[in-house]
Amino acid sequence: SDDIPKDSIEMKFKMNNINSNQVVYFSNETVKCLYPVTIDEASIDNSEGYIEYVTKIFEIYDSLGEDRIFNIPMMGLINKMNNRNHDYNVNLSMEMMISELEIFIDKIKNDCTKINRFYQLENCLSILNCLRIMYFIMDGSEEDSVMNGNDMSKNQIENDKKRQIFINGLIKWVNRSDGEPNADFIEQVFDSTEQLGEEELPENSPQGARDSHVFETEIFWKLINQLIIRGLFSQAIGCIDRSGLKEYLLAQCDVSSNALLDIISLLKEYPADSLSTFREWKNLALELLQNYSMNDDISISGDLRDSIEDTLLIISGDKNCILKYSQFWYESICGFYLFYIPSLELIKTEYLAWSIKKNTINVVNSWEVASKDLMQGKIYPILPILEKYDLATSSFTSGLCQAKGLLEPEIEEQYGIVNYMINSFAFEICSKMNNKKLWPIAIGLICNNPNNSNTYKRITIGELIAHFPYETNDDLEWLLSICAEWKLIDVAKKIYMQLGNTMMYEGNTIEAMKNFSKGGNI
Amino acid sequence: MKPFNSGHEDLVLDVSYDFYGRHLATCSADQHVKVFKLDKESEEWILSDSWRAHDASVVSVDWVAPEYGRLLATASHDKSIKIWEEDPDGTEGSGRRWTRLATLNDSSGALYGIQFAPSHLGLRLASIGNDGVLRIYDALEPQDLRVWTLTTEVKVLAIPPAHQLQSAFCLSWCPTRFAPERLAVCVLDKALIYQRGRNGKLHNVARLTGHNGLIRSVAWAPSIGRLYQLVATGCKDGKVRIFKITESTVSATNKNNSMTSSQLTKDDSESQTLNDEEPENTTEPALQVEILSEHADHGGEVWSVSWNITGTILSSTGEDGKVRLWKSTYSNEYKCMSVITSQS
Repeated sequence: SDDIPKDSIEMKFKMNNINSNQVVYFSNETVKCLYPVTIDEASIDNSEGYIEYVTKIFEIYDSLGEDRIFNIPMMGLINKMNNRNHDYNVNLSMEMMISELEIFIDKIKNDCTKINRFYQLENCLSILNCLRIMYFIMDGSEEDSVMNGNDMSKNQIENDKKRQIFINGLIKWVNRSDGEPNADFIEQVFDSTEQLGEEELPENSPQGARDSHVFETEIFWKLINQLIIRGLFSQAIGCIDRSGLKEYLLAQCDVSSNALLDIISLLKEYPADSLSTFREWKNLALELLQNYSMNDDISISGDLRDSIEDTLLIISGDKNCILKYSQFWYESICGFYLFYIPSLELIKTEYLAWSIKKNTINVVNSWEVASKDLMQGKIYPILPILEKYDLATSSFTSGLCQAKGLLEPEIEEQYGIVNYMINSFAFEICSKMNNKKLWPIAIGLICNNPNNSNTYKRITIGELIAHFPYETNDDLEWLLSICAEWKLIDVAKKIYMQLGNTMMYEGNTIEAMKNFSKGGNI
Repeated sequence: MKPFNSGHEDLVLDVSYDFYGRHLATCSADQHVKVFKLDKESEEWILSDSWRAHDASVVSVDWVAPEYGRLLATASHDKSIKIWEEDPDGTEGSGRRWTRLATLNDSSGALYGIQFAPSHLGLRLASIGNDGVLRIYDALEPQDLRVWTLTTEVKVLAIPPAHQLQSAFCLSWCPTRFAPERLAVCVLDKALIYQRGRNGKLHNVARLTGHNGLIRSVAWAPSIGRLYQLVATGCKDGKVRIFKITESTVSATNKNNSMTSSQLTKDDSESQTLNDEEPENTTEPALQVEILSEHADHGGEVWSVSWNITGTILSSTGEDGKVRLWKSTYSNEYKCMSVITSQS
């Protein structure tokens, strides 16, 4: 489409079944050329990696079976385990879908021709990570914890496991979304101060002394505190080790040195896997803060002491300090959950409100807008955003949200949003005639969509399947097996007639007659 | 891919892809028809054959459904329709690969549009021309494709337009097998839906209103997965229109928005069926038509509209020299999802 004349008037176009081979023509006075154009939809592609990704996530959705439907038992003997198993299966599906998306992103991340696609999928991943932590992990385990008190029951073990998954998910969401930790930035922080050190210190100064200025800069502490708020403890400890702060404090101030060692120990032992241990851990952090801030035997500069104290304030869950060192709204939400009160309910209410008051949402980043919506309990608005980036991801996400009971239940024959998204995706992959590999998925989606009635399925498959671009005997077998399964006799006849004509055209008269006969025409 | 010279010596007036999308037929004012094959390796259109098909401009070309073999129909300003069959043994590029099976000479005016009916209706062909008559032909003996019978004739325009005036005629069949036989016929600025009634005759069951100029193109969408039908028109008034058509379950005589054929015939003196002598059945199910959306984005005359195979994407072209692709959102709102321009 590079050279389509701009001034031509009678421009005409007909859509071909093959997206990549369509022509524009001009019924005006001068142009007699045909202009091939390709229709590429941003939200779906033809690459092998994509086909693999779609196949995998379809398998995940398909294997949910009965769990694709969300049921609230209203009568009879209500089995609590059934609900738990249902939630477990749906949660696992979401986790697996996210893993598949990560694998697909990894495949294309180094392909410079797919840079836009990479960013689209990263956006999808951020939204899915947020959706998962908000709705596909906890399943009311916080309420269970309150009800069970401190009893070391089976539920509590399960809830602690969920807590660990949640925290890992939260940290992953926050850090993957904006690409932290940024190794380049960390290097910059150290480089600038190392250069400064080289200029100011004599050549024979020990290494520790040469690097001593790093921890005296504001940017270093901002980095450390940001890493801690984001849950990147090992990176924060690594930066402290590299800075030479430990050696410096050991030589200068026992109290501060011990406090730093205690901070490192606390970070290393952060109890992501136990709520009850977290309470003890937080007690220790508060004690440490109190002891350090009340201690008069500190012999380091006021700035350095304040910096250590700020870090202590953060890990002991000080709201103002967490907000002060957070550069983005999602950072502070993570900090609040890790160090203030670990509560999903508080994320939805207070943490989000405090965080966006301090650091506003960047509306240009659609994943930020979608994440905020998710935290406010709005599921529907995220679906069009996902759809814009990737049709497959959005369709399966809507299916999983429905399975989890997050969307209004849809009535058969009514065109609800899940129905719309799943069917649209199925039609979209069928309209790419040059990509027959995804056809079984399309048919599978239509068949397995819990919102489609059997009549709808039969009619739709009957209309669609006649367009299947079969080439091999295997294709044909599959095609006829679908016709048999759905009793699509007319379609099967039509296929035999098509086949007969193709054979005739190729000069295989006997084969052609056989097919005409099967088509009922002889 | 680079633009390629069609080889036509005059304007290209119509193109048509075969069912598999791998053959392209073009027709031109140079009286010739050309068939191109898509090369699987290079993904380029390669000329397969070219021949002089008519004695005047060839304005419309269409492929038959693949279960009926490899047939082409062409219509021309010479008032004739010709049916062509490919001879697989004929040498490519010889001009003799396609042989004429039939010539249909019933029109008293220049023809403008033809289209084969969807395959479930049999081997059937509709045409519309300058005489304002919709004609439907059937190959009643599929073994002998040289015999085509004029089975239906409907006078859509009472008085044909003067030859010197600009005019537009086009038609499009309803592709679904799960609805009665229907087609949209556009003559000048009128767009009408015809449906075959229980008496076997075509009745005008609805009108697509709102056009303020010649209707250049009409396209009935495949209705896969939808409980309603969509028809798009491209008009000289600069608008792409999308109409939603639903079956009316209530007797049409009780409805204001829908019309039975008899009502329409009374209302519209220009529209009448020639072969309808007996009173029409007023209990025929009527159609309800509502306009879903209108788009004036082309900023000038709209020249063509067409749907993809699933009826999910509509394309339109206009005087701005752009191809616009329209897609429906969940709320049935059509939005321009892509624009193909000379720069893109």
